[in-house]
Amino acid sequence: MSQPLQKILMVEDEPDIRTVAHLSLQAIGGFTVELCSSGQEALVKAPVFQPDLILLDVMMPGMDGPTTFLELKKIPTLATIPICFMTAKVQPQEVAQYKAMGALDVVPKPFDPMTLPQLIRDIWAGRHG
Amino acid sequence: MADAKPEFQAQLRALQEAFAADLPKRLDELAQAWAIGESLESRIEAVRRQAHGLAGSGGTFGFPELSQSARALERKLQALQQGHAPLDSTLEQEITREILAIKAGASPASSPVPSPSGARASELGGSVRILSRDESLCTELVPQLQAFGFEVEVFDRFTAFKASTDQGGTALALVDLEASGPDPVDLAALGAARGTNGVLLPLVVISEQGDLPNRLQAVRAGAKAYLSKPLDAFRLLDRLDALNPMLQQDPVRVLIIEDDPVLAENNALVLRSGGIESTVVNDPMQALRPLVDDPPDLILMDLDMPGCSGLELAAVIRQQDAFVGVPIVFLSGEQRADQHMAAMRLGADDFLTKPAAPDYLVSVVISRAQRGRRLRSFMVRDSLTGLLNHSAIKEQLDREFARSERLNENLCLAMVDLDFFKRVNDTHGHPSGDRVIRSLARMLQQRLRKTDIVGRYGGEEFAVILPNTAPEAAKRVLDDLRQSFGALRFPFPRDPTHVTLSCGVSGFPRFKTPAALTEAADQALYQAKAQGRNRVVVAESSSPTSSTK
Repeated sequence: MSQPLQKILMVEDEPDIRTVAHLSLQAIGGFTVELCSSGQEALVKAPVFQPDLILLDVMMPGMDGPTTFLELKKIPTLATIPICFMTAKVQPQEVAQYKAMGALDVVPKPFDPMTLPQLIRDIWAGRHG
Repeated sequence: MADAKPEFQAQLRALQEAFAADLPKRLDELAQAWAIGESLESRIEAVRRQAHGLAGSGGTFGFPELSQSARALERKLQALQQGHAPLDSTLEQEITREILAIKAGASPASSPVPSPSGARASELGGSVRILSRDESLCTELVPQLQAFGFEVEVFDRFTAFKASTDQGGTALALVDLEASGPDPVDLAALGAARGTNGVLLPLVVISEQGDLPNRLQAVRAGAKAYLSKPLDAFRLLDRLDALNPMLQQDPVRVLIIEDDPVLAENNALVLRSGGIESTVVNDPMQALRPLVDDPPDLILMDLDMPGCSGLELAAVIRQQDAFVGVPIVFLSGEQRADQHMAAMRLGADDFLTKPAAPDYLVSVVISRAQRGRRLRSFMVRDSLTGLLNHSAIKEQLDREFARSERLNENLCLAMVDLDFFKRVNDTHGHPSGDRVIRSLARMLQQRLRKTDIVGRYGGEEFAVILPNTAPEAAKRVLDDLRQSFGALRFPFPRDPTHVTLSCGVSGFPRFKTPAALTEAADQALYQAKAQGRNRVVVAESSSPTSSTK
């Protein structure tokens, strides 16, 4: 991907993870970050914010990550925005399954707040995995 | 990372502290969710969800062990939900224990209940998975590995084996090259696979043949070892010990003595970013207590402090035998040759001027601390078993006893002695006797908790210190271990191929001094021998004339 990565939308139900990731991506990564606490909130905020990249937690109560993924992809203005899942399960066959769905990549949890921005950049540049 | 802003560091720290403050409540909720619920299904789901949350965040907030143990718990519960394992009372108890261990591990107080099996082996991060169709190999290997506390799974088809290792949770993958059946053994595919925590699968190849093409394949697949049949568990574990001198490297621990709290905190953060844990003392007059309670791998000390200068404090520290070897690194505000020389004469290991560049500080601390550890281990460890030697374990007993007295907690001492050991040496030779000793040493280390301390007290006698444990619980753990050890079959050409052990246990506060504790445990051991050996006896009372147990 040759465009610059500036705006990231993060969808995560756990408040403390949201706060740390926000801090990490903004203070260290220098990204502009918008947070959502649920899939429903993402469907409302994403078309307005028009992020360059969406980080999507897999296990959320109510609308889970994969369901949110499919719903986001139905929105025309969001169709080409790459989406990365965030989840504890990162076994190879599961990563393959998420990519087969159309996800760009998977960020493993727990993540290290010091290195998260670089990981995101690597994924963006297509160097990861 | 060197250019990360200090405000971020401070904010991150605040968030980590908030997580830590909230953690006890979350762990209480976890325990309650297991105990109370509408139905078994709802309890399992509630705990699984919470374990998943803890696993996903623990590591981010500075609790990596919490993430690991919560994930192990989550996997267990998922297996239950998917019907892979039935819920019997054993499994239910295991899950309860695991939840308690997670609670205890993540909180300041230590675990109240030592778990009898696999407490340490589970820290290896998973099971041993074996691919083999060789029945005699499996009947030989599996029970021995289990006795040492490993979980073992055996597969007779490559596809099932690969699928299982792909799921993660493999501490060690053993592949028998002769296991080609319906599916051929594809070492190359395993070489490309990832194991626990995303690192390369730890692979050991076993084969009858040692020809070059097979060995090359193993090398290309990144195998750690290539072992020939017949293979017994002892040879396998010896080989793995040689490859992994310390299966888990504890992080380096530093005591920072610095009167400026901001600077101290900053140094602590810098060291933290290098994986080093530190305790901070701002008042040099209070430095001795943490030094004694929790001996650090290295002391980082400010030279110019009010009340007691760094040099004076270092001299006091070096006065004591116990601290003659601990590395000391000084930080000073000025480059003063005379101070530098005085410091070196005192036995300082390094002298840095402030402000010390973070990368340099971290690398000096790590290299000095690791060297200090290696040197210290030669002084305190028994060369055959790697356990603490006689004087070191006695010293540890004094230290743990003082702590238990101060905190008003239970403490147990167990003396473990091999039965008829002279017979083993006479019949099979001393190298075989050594093998038995090393096997017991390994089993003690693997089956007990991280907080339990094991030492080699004498030729065939071991001492185990169990902090925060009552005698009845200690007896359960040691009895379990006694049975497992007695079940081991050593690969000796003739009898005896089994060796049993006897054990005496004494507890504080029933016995009131380290000397009384030691004498009582010895007496109890003597009784165990007199009553027929191969048993554990708990010292009942402090009266030396008490007759029966």
